[in-house]
Amino acid sequence: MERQKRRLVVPFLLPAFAAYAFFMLYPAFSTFYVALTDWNGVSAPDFVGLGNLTELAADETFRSTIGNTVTFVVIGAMILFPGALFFAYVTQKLRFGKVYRFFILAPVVLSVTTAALLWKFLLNPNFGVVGVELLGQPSTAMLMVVLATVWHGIGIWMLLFAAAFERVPVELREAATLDGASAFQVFRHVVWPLIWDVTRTLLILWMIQGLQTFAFIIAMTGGGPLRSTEVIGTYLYGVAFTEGRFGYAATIAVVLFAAILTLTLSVNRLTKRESEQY
Amino acid sequence: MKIRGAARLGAALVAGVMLLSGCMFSGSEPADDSAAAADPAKLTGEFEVVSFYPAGSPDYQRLEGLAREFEGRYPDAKVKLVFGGGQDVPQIQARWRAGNPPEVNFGFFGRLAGNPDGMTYVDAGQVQPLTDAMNKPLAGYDQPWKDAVLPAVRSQLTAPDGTYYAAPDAVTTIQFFYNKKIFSDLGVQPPTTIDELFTVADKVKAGGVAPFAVTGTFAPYLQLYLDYLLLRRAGGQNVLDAIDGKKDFASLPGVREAAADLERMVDNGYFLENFRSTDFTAAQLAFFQGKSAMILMGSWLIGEMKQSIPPGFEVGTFPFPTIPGAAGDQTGVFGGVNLQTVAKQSKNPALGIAWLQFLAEKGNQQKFVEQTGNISAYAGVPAPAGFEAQAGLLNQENAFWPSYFAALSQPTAVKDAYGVPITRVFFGELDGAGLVTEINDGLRKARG
Repeated sequence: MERQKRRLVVPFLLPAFAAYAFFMLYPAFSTFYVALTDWNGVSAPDFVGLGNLTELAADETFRSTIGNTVTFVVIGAMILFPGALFFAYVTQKLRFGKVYRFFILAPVVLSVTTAALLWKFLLNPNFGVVGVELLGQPSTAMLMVVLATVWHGIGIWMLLFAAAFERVPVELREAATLDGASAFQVFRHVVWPLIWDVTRTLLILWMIQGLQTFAFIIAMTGGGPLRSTEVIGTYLYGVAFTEGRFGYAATIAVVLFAAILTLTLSVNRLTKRESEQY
Repeated sequence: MKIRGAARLGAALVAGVMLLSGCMFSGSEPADDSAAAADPAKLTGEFEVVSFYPAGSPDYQRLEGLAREFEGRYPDAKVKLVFGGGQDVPQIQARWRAGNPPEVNFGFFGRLAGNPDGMTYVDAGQVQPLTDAMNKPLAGYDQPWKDAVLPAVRSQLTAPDGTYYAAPDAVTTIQFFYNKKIFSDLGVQPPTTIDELFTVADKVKAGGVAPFAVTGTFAPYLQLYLDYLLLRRAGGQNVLDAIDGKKDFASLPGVREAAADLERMVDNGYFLENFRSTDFTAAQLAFFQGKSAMILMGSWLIGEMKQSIPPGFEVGTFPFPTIPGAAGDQTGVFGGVNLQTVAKQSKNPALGIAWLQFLAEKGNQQKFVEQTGNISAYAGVPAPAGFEAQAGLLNQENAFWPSYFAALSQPTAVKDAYGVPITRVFFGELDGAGLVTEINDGLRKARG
């Protein structure tokens, strides 16, 4: 009977699987194949095996983009997580907390391009609000892009943390408070361990998002000045669509995929703790 | 059993992917060249023309008007305009790769359909040869189409084997634009030599205005200054050879002097304040707002900024000054030819060719210049006011040099080897001597 049921299900699943295979699996597998070729996107590809990978290993620009990407992820995490946690925790207790949350969340509705152009305008030293060259200096440009990215998306992270806080039983906090714990101690020793699984998931999500960062950089700096904000995503795009080297770009994509996979698994393993039951 | 099932599924997936990959890369056979020689009476059906500018723009409106005229001449033909500029360039590229390109495509020959390597499409047999059509008379001229094209532009239309693959739409040149009022108030004339340029810049700066507006966020515009200085002092072909790795950059005559000129410009504070954070639109605005007296820019500037030019603003132009006694090209001008090509794999290439011939007719070219302020690529069509000198240079076969020394289409390593040190000079991180050394070493390394 069970076998018959399964046989009945298969025909219904096939269209969905076919669509998934065509739109998801085929492009993904194709990328792995293209990465083994020298392909300009027009002529037939030349199979070069691991030639692109060898070239990539010696590519100084690519190496610098790795550094910039990691910088983006690390600085972004250092601003995003404390910020999102702070806003989520504080607005929970404030009288008009939901109103504050609304304003913090509001930038999310803007398209990335709009948000980036807004920041670019604000940071213009001639007619913006800051009279200093922040986007034009290699030493500060990346920080500005990170700030814009975090400003745009922090509302979502705040909401996710806020949802996690809501899950923490009030009795546990009250008990800790009655035992004489300060607000920080309550957060550090009661709330924080209880929301660790959410923090861990969000950290991984940020890493994936950060390693793929592209739109804010393209719109705000184009990778400059002096390639100080060139990240893997923007370099990949330039190699593919400016230089027409789709094989090499696919190799970068494969390396990026491998890096994300490895880092995600590593972070997942390193940050794994016994779940607190409540 | 489960493992075997998974293996079967995996094998099927891989086979499917390989099959699809095969489909993706197989392409189709080039169409027959006879399309070019089609009988005009058989010019029927719909064909697509890519516009580099979006719907509603003056250029798009011009194309719409031309389309109606074309349809009047060929009642059975229907023109469909397609936006293919800016963010839509990849979409047109994708159509080329899929074998379904529009008939008429906007693209620089060095970058057909937006691709930097123009020959890629020619080599793949996807571009319709125009040699037959180019050898036939063109309406409004008593000579073949190809001979109606200005001599300096003609060489841009052919592949290395001499086959014509493109027709020119417009020519852009790079020169100084200046604010006539500022010049008049200071009692200075447009400079003709490099020494005069420095003198004018000093007077402008003393008058409290930045001599040059420039953007620091788009490195190629910074590069224009050194490009011109090198063209005048070292010669265009020498620099192209150095970028191609055929010559040592540092060994070229005049490169040290050109680098010293650039260093002097930076040290003297000639460039717009905060230019490092100023993008090109803001830099152009600064010029039209009177915050700078000059801007080194392409001939598209006036059309591009039309909405932002204050009433009464008088703009003048002058070619990049000469350097008397220097060994380079004193009359050379950087620029580009906006080329249009016909896709061989499109549905109706014959109509595409007829459209390009129609655009090239003298009457349409004259209207084109009047309506857009662009420089025509055809002989006998007067240049727009202010561009007579630059347009005149196009009558010389070797006067035209590819903008940015074509460095934009080079691999990143080469592009950076040349462009990054220039930016560093502008940013005050490098002096002239260091510039020569860094470019030389960088090009040597990038070229292996």
